[in-house]
Amino acid sequence: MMSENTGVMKENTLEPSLWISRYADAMLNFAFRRTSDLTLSEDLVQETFLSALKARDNFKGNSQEKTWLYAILENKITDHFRSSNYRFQKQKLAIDEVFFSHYFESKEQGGHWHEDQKPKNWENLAEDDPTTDGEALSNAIENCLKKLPQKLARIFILKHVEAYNSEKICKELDITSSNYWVMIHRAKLQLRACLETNWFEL
Amino acid sequence: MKLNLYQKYLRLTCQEATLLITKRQETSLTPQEKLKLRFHLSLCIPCTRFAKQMVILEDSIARFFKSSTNPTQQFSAKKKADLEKIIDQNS
Repeated sequence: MMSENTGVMKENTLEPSLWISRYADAMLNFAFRRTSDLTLSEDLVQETFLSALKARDNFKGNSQEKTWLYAILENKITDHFRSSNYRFQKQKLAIDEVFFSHYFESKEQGGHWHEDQKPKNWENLAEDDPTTDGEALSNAIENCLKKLPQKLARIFILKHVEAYNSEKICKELDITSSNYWVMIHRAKLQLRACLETNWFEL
Repeated sequence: MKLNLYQKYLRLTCQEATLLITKRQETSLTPQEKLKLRFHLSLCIPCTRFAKQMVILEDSIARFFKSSTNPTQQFSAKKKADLEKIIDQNS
């Protein structure tokens, strides 16, 4: 019993001199996957270490050093996306009418796809093009995701990296659920069009 | 009369139909939405293609994020040395 306790104690103390070698790169990747911004990720990791040092007296040893540091980093990332600075910087999205009129005729005109925006038959294109393997598609997805407005790209990061459900995403972004469908839909329309030009017509 | 029923119960523009396709992927449709969408897709080739492509797209996006879990970013040696110094000074 005694030895077990001391074992736990030893495991849950802070060893700042080992933080860089133990966690720095992993934490950098953690931040980068959520922000897609390397410089920002480096800053966030550095701030995390500094905050951790300042708050080291609050470390009760209830959790692992690693868990504690990641919790601080997660807070930093959340703070970043909630900061007025970020909200100010991010581009305003075009209103829905303007956005959709790029792809579709108006309702009065019949509401069909514009001739040049109609989805092409991917099956034929994929057969003709030997470069359409998984890697090429993955690269094309990466490039097309980069072209999305930040606001839309963030939805995919919350969904696929954080594994948030739609309810949680709506809460995080402070949007209604119908707003959420429309935003996802806009992102997908844009991604689809981007893929069709960048992947199939290399 | 028949035309009115069509307008009222079945008519969807392509814009509305594609939004329902996205909604179907994310959650579920009401019975009426299902009926409208099925009717629209039975007549509309571009939207049928769109629906198929959305399955491929959803799949590829999920796969892309999964594959990008591999660590790819690293601090430079210099940055690491700087960080060590900062931690040392503040410890």
